[in-house]
Parts: sequence; structure tokens; C-alpha cells
Amino acid sequence: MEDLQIGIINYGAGNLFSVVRAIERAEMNAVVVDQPAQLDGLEMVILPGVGSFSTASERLRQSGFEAALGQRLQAGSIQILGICLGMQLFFEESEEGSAPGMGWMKGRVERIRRSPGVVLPHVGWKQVEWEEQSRPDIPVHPEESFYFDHSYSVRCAEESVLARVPLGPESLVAAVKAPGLLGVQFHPELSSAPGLAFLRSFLTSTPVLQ
Amino acid sequence: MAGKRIVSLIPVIGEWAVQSYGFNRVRPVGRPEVAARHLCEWGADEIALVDIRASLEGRTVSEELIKRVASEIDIPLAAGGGIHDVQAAHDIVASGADKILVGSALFTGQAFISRAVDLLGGQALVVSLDYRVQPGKGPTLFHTSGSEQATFSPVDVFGLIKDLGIGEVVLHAIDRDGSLDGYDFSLLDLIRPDVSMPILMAGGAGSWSDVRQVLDDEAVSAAVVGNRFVHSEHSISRLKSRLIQDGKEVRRNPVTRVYESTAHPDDDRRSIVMSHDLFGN
Repeated sequence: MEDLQIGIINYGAGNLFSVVRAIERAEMNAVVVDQPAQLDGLEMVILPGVGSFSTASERLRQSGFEAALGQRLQAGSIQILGICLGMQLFFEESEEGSAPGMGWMKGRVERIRRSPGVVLPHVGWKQVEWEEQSRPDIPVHPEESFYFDHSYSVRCAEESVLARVPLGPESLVAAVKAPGLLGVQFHPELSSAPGLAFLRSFLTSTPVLQ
Repeated sequence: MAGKRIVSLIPVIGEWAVQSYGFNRVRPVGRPEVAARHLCEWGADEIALVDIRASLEGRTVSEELIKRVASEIDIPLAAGGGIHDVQAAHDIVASGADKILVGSALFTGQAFISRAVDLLGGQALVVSLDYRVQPGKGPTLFHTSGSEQATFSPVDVFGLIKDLGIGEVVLHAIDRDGSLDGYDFSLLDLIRPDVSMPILMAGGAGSWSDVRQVLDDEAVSAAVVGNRFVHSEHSISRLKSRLIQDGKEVRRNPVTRVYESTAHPDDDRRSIVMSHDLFGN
């Protein structure tokens, strides 16, 4: 297990530290990937979530990561875990700025609607409701909470949704999947033992990504 | 359902954790990274590490300290103290903070704050409004370790916070700091109609019922607990047990099993590995 290399895409400002720390705690090797050429040989990478949608998507485009990751996805040679904004970037567009997303999944990112009792950003520890059919076999008790911190949320086809999280009258998308892609709106790297269990489970066995 | 958060505040001066009283008296108590590790194990939902003299002394919260603290925990970390420019904000986030906490900068460097919001996202910015309740005048804002009175009224500042897109707001009652007398609600009451983002209440937590009272307030997202709950054994676990017993929703300590890894015997950092068959609950 110690040989498993997990790439962490560095596309600019932000806290890669907590993702690196979580990977190391889960006893895997974290490799910070600064340039697309460094993707060679990596089968699993994490797209962390930092900053705003447009800035992040422009950086991925200009640095060549968008093309390099897209080619590897098509070839089926890489699996990408997107965290928070990292997941939102999988989609076509966002209300948070005009730059398009990666477009690897159909759907868009919208600002969470305000309603009584809903304050934004949506910050805190929440239980996640896994879709009945697709609850992944992860060793995390259903009553465990994960840490969320976001103001924008994904809207996409039902079949892509892996989990939801309630907020006020709505329920927001908490996890999505597509071939080679897994996205989580919460931060497993900041979610204590359940978060690490989740990360390790997905990064070492990849049934939902097939 | 979501529980409201218990945020553990570790006030520091330089490399040392201190207990703080009314923003003017302090007592050094130990190493912040040790406190952070314990608070995390005891179930704190988030850690706030603040160098309470940094702005006053023209320093910035220690990046080395942030690295050490971040290495010990697996929950969100907010760090603050003397952050007045984008480079400092970037360096602090790169050192392992998930959010930066600004105070004085709100009054002296709004351009910096909007650039930091662009760079890091509004969710990474937390502002602390420090205030004293003055006879006849109500809550009055101060900055730079409570040494300077702000020229803005609380309502104006709240408008500014919204315009800048800052993610969360701490209301910190200076006179209650370290007092254990319970939280002050006067500033919250003043800005209550304008609350559209998470509000964290700080200053005065002395007992579980103080925390219960503040969490019962609909406008409050989190209770910040400091002195009383930083350096007494199992403080946060006991606080949360008492709140749960009283019917309050807070995050319970994970049941996902955590055990010491044997993979790195020379490494005293604790590794967390889960096991697949431990869910008898």
C-alpha cells in the first residue's frame, strides 16, 4: 500500500497541505504535481478545491492540465478524485464566473439559493445521504459527518449523483461519479477519521470509478 | 442533521499558547500544537489559532507554528494575527491553514481583503469583530488587539463584510474574554436582521450551559470556546456529552475506528487507518 502514489494537482494558490497530510496519514504516498508532464505513471490524482471557479479553471487550462487530464481520462488511464471546487470543475459551467469548466461531466454549478434558515457559505459537519442503489461499500458509519464549506452547488443528471446532503428545504449534491471520475462536495481531508477512511477506501479500491 | 460547530480557539503569542483575559492580561500555558492535537481528539469541530499580539507588534502569525499545528490535526484550521497583505494570506494558507482570520485589516486594508477573496475564495476568509460594550453607546468595535477604536459603526461594518464577500464572522466580546461569565449578545442583537452568513460567537464561555445558550440562538452557527476549554483534560468531549444529553445536536466523536499504525514506528505522528469490520457500534 505504501507504494501507491497519489498525485495532487497543484494549480495555484491554496492549501495542498491538508490533502497531502491526509494521504500520508492514510499511508499512501502523496506527490504534488506541478506540471502535466509529471502525470506520467500516475493512475490516481486528486483535484483539490481552492479559490474561485473561473480562476481555477483558467489556471488548469493555461497550465495544460485540462488537456493532459482529459486525454488520460478518455484513454481510461487515470482516475480523478475532485474535492469541493475540484469536483465542481468537472462540469461545464458555473455561476461563479464566466470561464467554462472542464466539461468532463454534463451539468452546471449554481449558487445555493437563499431561503429562511439557510446562511451562506454552507459551513459545517453534515451526515451524507448516499443514494440507495449506489451506497458505496466504504467503512464509514452512516451516522458519521463530513465537513462542508461552499456557496455553490452542482446540478446534474440523477444517474451521476452518488450522495446528497440536506440544506434547508433543498438537498444538495454531495458526491458524483462518472467513468474515471469521483467528486465530493465535502472535504474528506478535513473530516477527521471518517474522512481518512473514505479517502483510503476510494484510493485503494476503486469500484465506483469503473 | 447538522450540528452547530464548537470551534476551539488557541490564542498564541509567537510560538506559545496563552490564556487571555480581556485582551490585556495573558498567561503562557504551553505548546499550541499539543493543545491542538488534544482538542482535535476530544472532538473540536475546528481549530482557530490566533496570535493575539501580532498586529500590535507588527508581526504575522508564525508560519512554522501553523505547519506544526496543521500536522497534528485532521479538522479545519483557521489562522490569524497580523495578516495585512495577499502574500501573507497566501503563505499562511500554503502553511496548512484552511481559512485566514482577519481583524485589523478590515479597517485598514479593504483592498487586500477583496484580493484575498478572489485568490482564496470567500469561504477561506473569516473576520473577527472585536468589541467592547460601552455605557450609553452600546457595542463599539476595536481593532489591533483591542487597542484602537474603529471609526465604523457595527452596522456599517457588517455591510462592508457582505460587500467584500467574506465567508464567516466572529463576534468577540473583549470584556468577556477569559471571564467565564457567558457570552454577550449585544452586538449580535444589533446586526441580527442582517445576518446572512455564519456567525461565530466568542468571549466568555465558562460552562456547557453558556455554550448551549449561544447555540440555541438561531442566528449563531458556532460557539468559539477558549481558555476554559483549551487546557482542561477532555474538555470538549465533556462539553459535547453534556450538550447531547441535553438534546442538542452536535457532531459526535467518530465511531470510525482509529488506531495507532505500526507502519512508521519511528514516526510519532499518529497515523489513522480504518478497519473494515468495526461497525458493531
